[in-house]
Amino acid sequence: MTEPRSGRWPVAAVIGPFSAAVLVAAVSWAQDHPPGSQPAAVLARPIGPAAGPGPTGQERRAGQERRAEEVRRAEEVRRVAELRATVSALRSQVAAWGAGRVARATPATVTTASPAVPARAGGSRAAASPPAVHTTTRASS
Amino acid sequence: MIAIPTARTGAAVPAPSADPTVPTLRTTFRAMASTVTVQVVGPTGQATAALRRVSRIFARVERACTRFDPDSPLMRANAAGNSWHPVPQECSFALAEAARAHRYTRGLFDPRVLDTLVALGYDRSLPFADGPVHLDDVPAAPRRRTGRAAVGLGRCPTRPAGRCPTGTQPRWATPWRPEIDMAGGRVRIGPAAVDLGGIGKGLAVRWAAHALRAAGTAFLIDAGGDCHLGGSGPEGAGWRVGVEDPAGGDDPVAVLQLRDLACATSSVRLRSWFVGDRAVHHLIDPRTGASAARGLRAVTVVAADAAIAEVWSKALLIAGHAQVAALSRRHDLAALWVDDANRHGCSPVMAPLLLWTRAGADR
Repeated sequence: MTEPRSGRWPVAAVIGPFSAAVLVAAVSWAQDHPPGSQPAAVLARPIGPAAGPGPTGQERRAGQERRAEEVRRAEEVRRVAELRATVSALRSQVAAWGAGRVARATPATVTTASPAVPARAGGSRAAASPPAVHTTTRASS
Repeated sequence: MIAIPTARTGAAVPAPSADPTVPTLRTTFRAMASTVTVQVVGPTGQATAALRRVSRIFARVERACTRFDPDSPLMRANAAGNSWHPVPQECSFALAEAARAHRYTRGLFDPRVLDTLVALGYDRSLPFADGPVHLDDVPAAPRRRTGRAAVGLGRCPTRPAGRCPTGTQPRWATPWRPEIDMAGGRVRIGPAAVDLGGIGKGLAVRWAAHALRAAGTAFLIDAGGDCHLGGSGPEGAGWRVGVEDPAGGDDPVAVLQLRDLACATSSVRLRSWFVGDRAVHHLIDPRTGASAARGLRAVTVVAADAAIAEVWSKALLIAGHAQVAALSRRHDLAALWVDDANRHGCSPVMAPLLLWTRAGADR
């Protein structure tokens, strides 16, 4: 690959090829961690102050490692929640697209978004007002 | 450019065109209680003669099929009832087409509504364009030569939604079988008088379209809302046809893009009036003998032919909101409808013909 003239790789160029794989992995991971599941270390956390004499150096180190592990697990839980929300949003988009595709294939009625949109190519997509017409079909006059 | 007499006489005048390099001829005249506009794009040497032929076609159909002249061939044949009566070819064809439409629509299209319309006071051309029409006194149902009151529902204004208590058999329950002797130029309509106004206008548009096929590169016929769009229009992308908002809004409900197709709209908007304090309109439901009131304000149908479009737009409006989607799907109709809440919907066949629709879809 040729290095860009700016000397820096665009972020999209680097991430783009991997984004699909990352997304698939993330979705898979999120599915393996259903809502409500918690890391085992978080669930095993002791409740209340530790009894007995002050901690030894070894115990302090163990405590620090445990707290670090708790922070790491908490961060992981937050990320899982975010991923789950993203997956949910993606699924909603896919469902909407799929419904739209079905509706286009066999519509009982044609529905329009709000405000008005052209029913097919030929009009301005942003046009809320109708195109000029050559004549009008109406109640017999 | 072709010579141009005045438009008031129904002769051709040049019309402004989107593309100034493409000449366009336009003529406007009154016929069949409607303003008829005919436009020819890129007129050939035959255009002027073809336009004259079009106005003659409308005049002949009107003379043959009007119900507002008691001496018209149709009204004389109506009065003859079960006797054979000579009629011009336009009347025979219109009657044959109406009978075919009656069969295809399984009775939803039924021209035997004349006595009901007369009973509702619509026995003459009413000034609908001038504002609300109020009729306080309506005439009695006419009597036939058979010596008895017209078969059917008789005087209906006292029963808004149900069948009228005339004691006669409901008209829809009896099959309509007019007899037509094409070779002999005579018809036997039967005991119930018929109104061929709507289908007559559709046929006039059909025949006018045939007369214009060699008049130019494209043409448009608009007979009070019944349209035929020949060719690809002035810009070559198809004719853009607005579908009127039956609620009276400035913007159309939709814009159609049509090539070599016809369209017609049946609507309760214009030909509506009051009998006493009751609102009625001209689209009579043959199942009840009263103005159709089944949840639809307007139905537009696109078809290869204006008479077919006219028949189905009327039949679908009478069928009502509950049946319009299924019926248009069953018959592969390109239909667009507006319900009483001013929401619109359309059939799958209509969808590719829509260039634009406004917000507010049905269902």
